[in-house]
Amino acid sequence: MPSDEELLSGFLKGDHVAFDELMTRHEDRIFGLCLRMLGSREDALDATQDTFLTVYRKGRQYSGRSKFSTWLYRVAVNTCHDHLRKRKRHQAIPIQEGSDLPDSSVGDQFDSVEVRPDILTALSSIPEEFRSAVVFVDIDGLALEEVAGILGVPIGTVKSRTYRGRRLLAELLGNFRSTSEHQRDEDHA
Amino acid sequence: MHEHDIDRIAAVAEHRLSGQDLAVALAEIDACQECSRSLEAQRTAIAFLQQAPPATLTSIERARLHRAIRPAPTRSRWAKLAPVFAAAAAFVVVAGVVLSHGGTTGAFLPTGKSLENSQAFETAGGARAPAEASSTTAAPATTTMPSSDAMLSSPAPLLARQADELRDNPPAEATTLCQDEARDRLDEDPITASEIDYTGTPAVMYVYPKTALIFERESCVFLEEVPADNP
Repeated sequence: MPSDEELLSGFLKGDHVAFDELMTRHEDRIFGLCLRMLGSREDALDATQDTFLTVYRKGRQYSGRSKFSTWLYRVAVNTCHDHLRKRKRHQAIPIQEGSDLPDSSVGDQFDSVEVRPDILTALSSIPEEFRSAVVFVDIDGLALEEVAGILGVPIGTVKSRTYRGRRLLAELLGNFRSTSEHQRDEDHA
Repeated sequence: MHEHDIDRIAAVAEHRLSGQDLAVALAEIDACQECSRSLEAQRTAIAFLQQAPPATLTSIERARLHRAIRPAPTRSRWAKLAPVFAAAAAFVVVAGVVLSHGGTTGAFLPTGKSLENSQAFETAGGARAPAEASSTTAAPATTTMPSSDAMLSSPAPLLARQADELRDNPPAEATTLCQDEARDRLDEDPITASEIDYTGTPAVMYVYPKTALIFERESCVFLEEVPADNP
Protein backbone atom coordinates (compact mmCIF):
# COMPACT_ATOMS: atom_id res chain seq x y z
CA MET A 1 0.00 0.00 0.00
CA PRO A 2 1.52 3.35 -0.95
CA SER A 3 2.38 5.75 1.85
CA ASP A 4 0.66 9.12 2.21
CA GLU A 5 3.80 10.81 0.96
CA GLU A 6 3.87 8.59 -2.14
CA LEU A 7 0.23 9.36 -2.84
CA LEU A 8 0.87 13.09 -2.54
CA SER A 9 3.83 12.77 -4.86
CA GLY A 10 1.64 10.90 -7.34
CA PHE A 11 -1.03 13.56 -7.13
CA LEU A 12 1.50 16.32 -7.75
CA LYS A 13 2.48 14.46 -10.93
CA GLY A 14 -1.13 14.51 -12.07
CA ASP A 15 -2.61 11.35 -10.58
CA HIS A 16 -5.97 12.52 -9.27
CA VAL A 17 -6.89 9.04 -8.07
CA ALA A 18 -4.02 9.37 -5.59
CA PHE A 19 -5.64 12.49 -4.20
CA ASP A 20 -8.95 10.69 -3.81
CA GLU A 21 -7.14 7.95 -1.90
CA LEU A 22 -5.50 10.50 0.39
CA MET A 23 -8.88 12.04 1.10
CA THR A 24 -10.49 8.71 1.78
CA ARG A 25 -7.74 7.81 4.24
CA HIS A 26 -7.94 10.99 6.26
CA GLU A 27 -11.36 12.58 5.80
CA ASP A 28 -13.00 11.01 8.86
CA ARG A 29 -10.17 11.98 11.18
CA ILE A 30 -10.04 15.53 9.84
CA PHE A 31 -13.82 15.80 10.08
CA GLY A 32 -13.68 14.52 13.68
CA LEU A 33 -11.06 17.10 14.60
CA CYS A 34 -13.07 19.90 12.96
CA LEU A 35 -16.29 18.75 14.61
CA ARG A 36 -14.70 18.86 18.06
CA MET A 37 -13.06 22.19 17.37
CA LEU A 38 -16.12 23.87 15.84
CA GLY A 39 -19.02 22.07 17.53
CA SER A 40 -21.32 21.73 14.52
CA ARG A 41 -21.39 19.21 11.68
CA GLU A 42 -22.11 21.83 9.06
CA ASP A 43 -19.14 23.98 10.09
CA ALA A 44 -16.99 20.88 10.43
CA LEU A 45 -17.86 19.77 6.91
CA ASP A 46 -17.00 23.22 5.53
CA ALA A 47 -13.69 23.21 7.39
CA THR A 48 -12.90 19.69 6.18
CA GLN A 49 -13.60 20.80 2.63
CA ASP A 50 -11.40 23.87 3.02
CA THR A 51 -8.63 21.72 4.48
CA PHE A 52 -8.57 19.37 1.49
CA LEU A 53 -8.87 22.26 -0.94
CA THR A 54 -5.78 23.76 0.66
CA VAL A 55 -3.97 20.47 0.22
CA TYR A 56 -5.18 20.30 -3.38
CA ARG A 57 -3.92 23.77 -4.15
CA LYS A 58 -0.83 23.95 -1.96
CA GLY A 59 0.33 20.36 -1.88
CA ARG A 60 3.65 21.49 -3.31
CA GLN A 61 4.29 23.44 -0.13
CA TYR A 62 4.59 20.20 1.85
CA SER A 63 8.30 20.03 2.53
CA GLY A 64 8.52 16.43 3.72
CA ARG A 65 10.20 17.43 6.99
CA SER A 66 7.28 16.01 8.98
CA LYS A 67 4.84 13.20 8.27
CA PHE A 68 2.15 14.09 5.76
CA SER A 69 -0.52 13.47 8.41
CA THR A 70 1.18 15.98 10.74
CA TRP A 71 1.13 18.60 7.99
CA LEU A 72 -2.48 17.76 7.14
CA TYR A 73 -3.54 18.10 10.78
CA ARG A 74 -1.73 21.44 10.96
CA VAL A 75 -3.64 22.67 7.90
CA ALA A 76 -6.88 21.48 9.50
CA VAL A 77 -6.20 23.16 12.85
CA ASN A 78 -5.37 26.44 11.11
CA THR A 79 -8.53 26.13 9.02
CA CYS A 80 -10.60 25.57 12.17
CA HIS A 81 -9.03 28.62 13.86
CA ASP A 82 -9.87 30.60 10.73
CA HIS A 83 -13.50 29.47 10.88
CA LEU A 84 -13.69 30.34 14.58
CA ARG A 85 -12.31 33.81 13.88
CA LYS A 86 -14.91 34.34 11.16
CA ARG A 87 -17.65 33.11 13.47
CA LYS A 88 -16.57 35.54 16.19
CA ARG A 89 -16.68 38.36 13.67
CA HIS A 90 -20.23 37.54 12.68
CA GLN A 91 -21.85 36.67 15.96
CA ALA A 92 -21.41 37.08 19.64
CA ILE A 93 -20.97 33.64 21.19
CA PRO A 94 -23.45 33.22 24.05
CA ILE A 95 -21.82 32.75 27.40
CA GLN A 96 -22.27 29.11 28.31
CA GLU A 97 -23.33 27.95 31.65
CA GLY A 98 -20.23 27.30 33.70
CA SER A 99 -17.87 29.09 31.37
CA ASP A 100 -16.84 31.43 34.15
CA LEU A 101 -15.91 28.37 36.17
CA PRO A 102 -17.10 29.51 39.58
CA ASP A 103 -16.95 26.06 41.12
CA SER A 104 -13.43 24.93 41.81
CA SER A 105 -14.39 21.93 43.90
CA VAL A 106 -13.29 19.50 41.27
CA GLY A 107 -13.29 16.59 43.68
CA ASP A 108 -17.07 16.79 43.67
CA GLN A 109 -17.67 14.43 40.78
CA PHE A 110 -20.70 13.96 38.63
CA ASP A 111 -22.26 10.58 39.18
CA SER A 112 -24.95 10.22 36.58
CA VAL A 113 -24.84 10.43 32.84
CA GLU A 114 -27.82 12.70 32.44
CA VAL A 115 -26.23 15.64 34.27
CA ARG A 116 -23.21 15.71 32.00
CA PRO A 117 -22.99 18.28 29.25
CA ASP A 118 -22.33 16.70 25.89
CA ILE A 119 -18.74 16.60 24.80
CA LEU A 120 -19.06 19.18 22.04
CA THR A 121 -20.71 21.67 24.40
CA ALA A 122 -18.06 21.10 27.02
CA LEU A 123 -15.23 21.45 24.52
CA SER A 124 -16.69 24.64 23.10
CA SER A 125 -16.51 26.16 26.58
CA ILE A 126 -12.74 25.99 26.90
CA PRO A 127 -10.21 28.17 25.05
CA GLU A 128 -9.27 27.05 21.55
CA GLU A 129 -5.62 26.33 22.33
CA PHE A 130 -6.58 24.05 25.23
CA ARG A 131 -9.34 22.47 23.14
CA SER A 132 -7.03 21.41 20.33
CA ALA A 133 -4.55 19.96 22.83
CA VAL A 134 -7.10 17.80 24.69
CA VAL A 135 -8.73 16.68 21.44
CA PHE A 136 -5.41 15.49 20.01
CA VAL A 137 -4.11 13.93 23.22
CA ASP A 138 -7.20 12.53 24.92
CA ILE A 139 -9.60 11.82 22.06
CA ASP A 140 -7.32 11.11 19.10
CA GLY A 141 -4.65 9.58 21.33
CA LEU A 142 -1.73 11.20 19.52
CA ALA A 143 1.72 11.27 21.08
CA LEU A 144 2.83 14.53 22.69
CA GLU A 145 5.67 14.86 20.18
CA GLU A 146 3.28 14.63 17.24
CA VAL A 147 0.86 17.12 18.79
CA ALA A 148 3.76 19.51 19.36
CA GLY A 149 4.64 19.17 15.67
CA ILE A 150 1.07 19.80 14.57
CA LEU A 151 0.55 22.82 16.80
CA GLY A 152 4.06 24.16 16.26
CA VAL A 153 4.78 24.51 19.98
CA PRO A 154 7.23 22.82 22.38
CA ILE A 155 6.19 19.56 24.06
CA GLY A 156 6.07 21.31 27.42
CA THR A 157 3.44 23.69 26.05
CA VAL A 158 1.33 20.75 24.84
CA LYS A 159 1.56 19.18 28.31
CA SER A 160 0.60 22.43 29.98
CA ARG A 161 -2.32 23.11 27.59
CA THR A 162 -3.62 19.56 27.98
CA TYR A 163 -3.37 19.75 31.75
CA ARG A 164 -5.12 23.11 31.97
CA GLY A 165 -7.73 22.09 29.42
CA ARG A 166 -8.60 18.99 31.40
CA ARG A 167 -8.79 21.01 34.58
CA LEU A 168 -11.19 23.49 33.02
CA LEU A 169 -13.33 20.64 31.70
CA ALA A 170 -13.42 18.99 35.13
CA GLU A 171 -14.43 22.27 36.74
CA LEU A 172 -17.11 22.68 34.09
CA LEU A 173 -18.43 19.18 34.75
CA GLY A 174 -18.51 19.86 38.48
CA ASN A 175 -20.37 23.06 37.83
CA PHE A 176 -22.91 21.35 35.58
CA ARG A 177 -23.57 18.85 38.32
CA SER A 178 -23.97 21.55 40.92
CA THR A 179 -26.45 23.41 38.75
CA SER A 180 -28.39 20.26 38.01
CA GLU A 181 -28.46 19.19 41.62
CA HIS A 182 -29.55 22.67 42.65
CA GLN A 183 -32.46 22.39 40.23
CA ARG A 184 -33.32 18.94 41.56
CA ASP A 185 -33.32 20.27 45.13
CA GLU A 186 -35.64 23.07 44.12
CA ASP A 187 -37.97 20.60 42.43
CA HIS A 188 -38.14 18.52 45.60
CA ALA A 189 -38.75 21.53 47.83
CA MET B 1 2.10 23.70 42.25
CA HIS B 2 5.34 23.19 40.34
CA GLU B 3 5.87 22.02 36.78
CA HIS B 4 7.30 18.86 38.29
CA ASP B 5 4.01 18.20 40.11
CA ILE B 6 1.97 18.78 36.94
CA ASP B 7 4.08 16.25 35.03
CA ARG B 8 3.76 13.71 37.81
CA ILE B 9 0.00 14.18 38.18
CA ALA B 10 -0.52 13.88 34.43
CA ALA B 11 1.64 10.77 34.32
CA VAL B 12 -0.46 9.12 37.04
CA ALA B 13 -3.76 10.17 35.43
CA GLU B 14 -2.64 8.82 32.05
CA HIS B 15 -1.50 5.50 33.58
CA ARG B 16 2.05 6.09 32.41
CA LEU B 17 3.60 5.00 35.72
CA SER B 18 3.66 1.60 37.34
CA GLY B 19 5.28 -0.28 40.18
CA GLN B 20 7.53 1.64 42.51
CA ASP B 21 7.34 4.84 40.45
CA LEU B 22 3.56 4.84 40.74
CA ALA B 23 3.64 4.15 44.48
CA VAL B 24 6.08 7.02 45.11
CA ALA B 25 4.07 9.41 42.94
CA LEU B 26 0.80 8.51 44.65
CA ALA B 27 2.34 8.96 48.09
CA GLU B 28 3.54 12.44 47.14
CA ILE B 29 0.22 13.39 45.64
CA ASP B 30 -1.69 12.12 48.66
CA ALA B 31 0.42 14.33 50.87
CA CYS B 32 -0.70 17.46 49.00
CA GLN B 33 -4.38 18.38 49.02
CA GLU B 34 -4.20 20.54 45.89
CA CYS B 35 -2.32 17.79 44.07
CA SER B 36 -5.00 15.26 45.00
CA ARG B 37 -7.75 17.50 43.69
CA SER B 38 -5.81 18.09 40.50
CA LEU B 39 -5.34 14.38 39.96
CA GLU B 40 -9.05 13.83 40.40
CA ALA B 41 -9.78 16.61 37.91
CA GLN B 42 -7.40 15.10 35.36
CA ARG B 43 -9.00 11.68 35.75
CA THR B 44 -12.49 13.13 35.47
CA ALA B 45 -11.70 14.98 32.25
CA ILE B 46 -9.87 12.06 30.67
CA ALA B 47 -12.74 9.68 31.45
CA PHE B 48 -15.22 12.19 30.03
CA LEU B 49 -13.24 12.77 26.82
CA GLN B 50 -12.65 9.09 26.22
CA GLN B 51 -16.40 8.59 26.00
CA ALA B 52 -16.43 10.73 22.86
CA PRO B 53 -18.15 8.71 20.15
CA PRO B 54 -16.25 8.34 16.89
CA ALA B 55 -17.01 11.21 14.54
CA THR B 56 -17.50 9.97 11.01
CA LEU B 57 -19.00 11.48 7.92
CA THR B 58 -22.41 10.28 6.81
CA SER B 59 -22.63 8.97 3.27
CA ILE B 60 -24.35 12.19 2.19
CA GLU B 61 -21.67 14.35 3.81
CA ARG B 62 -18.94 12.22 2.27
CA ALA B 63 -20.49 12.55 -1.17
CA ARG B 64 -20.85 16.30 -0.75
CA LEU B 65 -17.21 16.59 0.30
CA HIS B 66 -15.93 14.58 -2.64
CA ARG B 67 -18.18 16.43 -5.06
CA ALA B 68 -16.78 19.74 -3.89
CA ILE B 69 -13.14 18.66 -3.99
CA ARG B 70 -12.96 16.21 -6.86
CA PRO B 71 -10.98 17.66 -9.75
CA ALA B 72 -12.56 18.30 -13.10
CA PRO B 73 -12.29 15.22 -15.30
CA THR B 74 -9.55 15.37 -17.87
CA ARG B 75 -10.87 15.29 -21.39
CA SER B 76 -9.44 13.80 -24.51
CA ARG B 77 -8.27 16.00 -27.38
CA TRP B 78 -11.41 15.16 -29.33
CA ALA B 79 -13.60 15.92 -26.36
CA LYS B 80 -11.87 19.27 -26.01
CA LEU B 81 -12.72 20.04 -29.62
CA ALA B 82 -16.35 19.08 -29.14
CA PRO B 83 -17.48 22.64 -28.32
CA VAL B 84 -15.86 23.87 -31.53
CA PHE B 85 -17.69 21.25 -33.56
CA ALA B 86 -20.91 22.06 -31.72
CA ALA B 87 -20.51 25.76 -32.42
CA ALA B 88 -19.72 25.08 -36.08
CA ALA B 89 -22.73 22.78 -36.41
CA ALA B 90 -24.96 25.36 -34.76
CA PHE B 91 -23.65 28.03 -37.12
CA VAL B 92 -24.38 25.90 -40.16
CA VAL B 93 -27.91 25.15 -38.95
CA VAL B 94 -28.66 28.77 -38.10
CA ALA B 95 -27.14 30.03 -41.33
CA GLY B 96 -29.31 27.58 -43.26
CA VAL B 97 -32.43 28.71 -41.43
CA VAL B 98 -31.62 32.38 -41.91
CA LEU B 99 -30.93 31.89 -45.62
CA SER B 100 -34.14 29.93 -46.04
CA HIS B 101 -35.99 32.94 -44.56
CA GLY B 102 -34.35 35.31 -46.98
CA GLY B 103 -31.70 36.43 -44.50
CA THR B 104 -33.75 39.35 -43.29
CA THR B 105 -34.23 38.65 -39.65
CA GLY B 106 -31.97 38.47 -36.66
CA ALA B 107 -34.49 36.54 -34.62
CA PHE B 108 -32.73 33.25 -35.26
CA LEU B 109 -29.35 34.26 -33.96
CA PRO B 110 -28.00 31.59 -31.65
CA THR B 111 -27.99 32.21 -27.95
CA GLY B 112 -25.66 30.92 -25.34
CA LYS B 113 -28.44 28.78 -23.97
CA SER B 114 -28.47 26.64 -27.08
CA LEU B 115 -24.99 25.47 -26.29
CA GLU B 116 -25.29 25.54 -22.61
CA ASN B 117 -26.15 21.90 -22.19
CA SER B 118 -23.72 20.63 -24.76
CA GLN B 119 -20.52 21.63 -23.07
CA ALA B 120 -18.85 21.94 -19.75
CA PHE B 121 -16.20 24.42 -18.79
CA GLU B 122 -12.96 23.72 -17.15
CA THR B 123 -11.84 26.25 -14.61
CA ALA B 124 -8.24 27.22 -14.33
CA GLY B 125 -6.69 24.85 -11.83
CA GLY B 126 -9.90 22.92 -11.61
CA ALA B 127 -9.93 22.83 -7.82
CA ARG B 128 -13.37 24.30 -7.38
CA ALA B 129 -14.79 22.77 -10.52
CA PRO B 130 -17.69 20.46 -10.00
CA ALA B 131 -17.07 16.81 -10.52
CA GLU B 132 -19.08 16.14 -13.58
CA ALA B 133 -20.64 18.36 -16.14
CA SER B 134 -24.20 17.24 -15.68
CA SER B 135 -26.88 17.91 -18.19
CA THR B 136 -29.01 19.59 -15.55
CA THR B 137 -31.09 22.32 -17.04
CA ALA B 138 -31.23 25.57 -15.17
CA ALA B 139 -34.45 26.65 -13.52
CA PRO B 140 -36.56 29.15 -15.43
CA ALA B 141 -35.31 32.02 -13.29
CA THR B 142 -31.73 31.07 -13.97
CA THR B 143 -29.75 33.58 -15.95
CA THR B 144 -28.15 32.23 -19.08
CA MET B 145 -24.61 32.48 -20.27
CA PRO B 146 -24.06 35.56 -22.39
CA SER B 147 -23.22 34.39 -25.90
CA SER B 148 -22.00 31.48 -27.95
CA ASP B 149 -18.67 33.19 -28.61
CA ALA B 150 -18.05 33.61 -24.94
CA MET B 151 -19.02 30.00 -24.36
CA LEU B 152 -15.83 28.88 -26.04
CA SER B 153 -13.58 30.74 -23.62
CA SER B 154 -12.79 29.96 -19.98
CA PRO B 155 -15.65 30.48 -17.50
CA ALA B 156 -14.04 33.20 -15.40
CA PRO B 157 -14.59 36.04 -17.92
CA LEU B 158 -18.04 34.64 -18.60
CA LEU B 159 -18.93 34.68 -14.95
CA ALA B 160 -17.52 38.18 -14.56
CA ARG B 161 -19.67 39.29 -17.49
CA GLN B 162 -22.68 37.56 -16.04
CA ALA B 163 -22.05 39.32 -12.72
CA ASP B 164 -21.78 42.65 -14.54
CA GLU B 165 -25.13 42.02 -16.23
CA LEU B 166 -26.71 41.27 -12.88
CA ARG B 167 -25.19 44.44 -11.42
CA ASP B 168 -26.62 46.50 -14.27
CA ASN B 169 -29.98 44.73 -14.42
CA PRO B 170 -30.73 43.05 -11.12
CA PRO B 171 -33.73 40.70 -11.30
CA ALA B 172 -36.97 41.88 -9.70
CA GLU B 173 -36.77 39.15 -7.12
CA ALA B 174 -33.42 38.01 -5.78
CA THR B 175 -32.98 34.49 -4.51
CA THR B 176 -32.35 33.90 -0.83
CA LEU B 177 -30.73 30.50 -1.32
CA CYS B 178 -27.34 30.21 0.39
CA GLN B 179 -27.67 33.65 1.94
CA ASP B 180 -26.12 32.52 5.23
CA GLU B 181 -23.11 31.10 3.42
CA ALA B 182 -22.77 34.32 1.45
CA ARG B 183 -22.95 36.34 4.66
CA ASP B 184 -20.28 34.12 6.21
CA ARG B 185 -17.99 34.83 3.30
CA LEU B 186 -18.64 38.53 2.94
CA ASP B 187 -20.29 40.65 5.58
CA GLU B 188 -21.88 43.01 3.11
CA ASP B 189 -25.31 43.41 1.52
CA PRO B 190 -25.30 42.05 -2.02
CA ILE B 191 -26.66 44.07 -4.95
CA THR B 192 -28.61 40.99 -5.95
CA ALA B 193 -28.50 37.22 -6.00
CA SER B 194 -29.54 34.94 -8.82
CA GLU B 195 -29.54 31.31 -9.72
CA ILE B 196 -27.10 30.56 -12.49
CA ASP B 197 -25.73 27.62 -14.38
CA TYR B 198 -22.13 26.96 -13.38
CA THR B 199 -20.47 24.61 -15.83
CA GLY B 200 -23.59 22.49 -15.89
CA THR B 201 -24.18 22.61 -12.13
CA PRO B 202 -27.06 24.64 -10.71
CA ALA B 203 -25.51 27.43 -8.66
CA VAL B 204 -26.30 30.71 -6.97
CA MET B 205 -24.40 33.91 -7.64
CA TYR B 206 -24.29 36.68 -5.04
CA VAL B 207 -23.30 39.92 -6.69
CA TYR B 208 -21.56 42.74 -4.79
CA PRO B 209 -20.14 46.02 -6.08
CA LYS B 210 -16.57 44.70 -6.19
CA THR B 211 -16.98 40.96 -6.48
CA ALA B 212 -19.36 38.05 -6.89
CA LEU B 213 -19.56 34.80 -4.95
CA ILE B 214 -20.80 31.55 -6.42
CA PHE B 215 -22.23 28.68 -4.40
CA GLU B 216 -23.50 25.28 -5.45
CA ARG B 217 -27.28 25.55 -5.34
CA GLU B 218 -27.97 22.24 -3.66
CA SER B 219 -25.38 22.22 -0.90
CA CYS B 220 -24.38 25.91 -0.76
CA VAL B 221 -20.77 24.80 -0.97
CA PHE B 222 -18.64 27.76 -2.03
CA LEU B 223 -17.42 27.36 -5.60
CA GLU B 224 -15.69 30.49 -6.77
CA GLU B 225 -15.18 34.21 -6.28
CA VAL B 226 -15.28 36.44 -9.34
CA PRO B 227 -13.82 39.90 -8.77
CA ALA B 228 -15.41 42.70 -10.78
CA ASP B 229 -13.33 43.90 -13.70
CA ASN B 230 -14.05 47.58 -13.06
CA PRO B 231 -15.32 47.89 -9.50
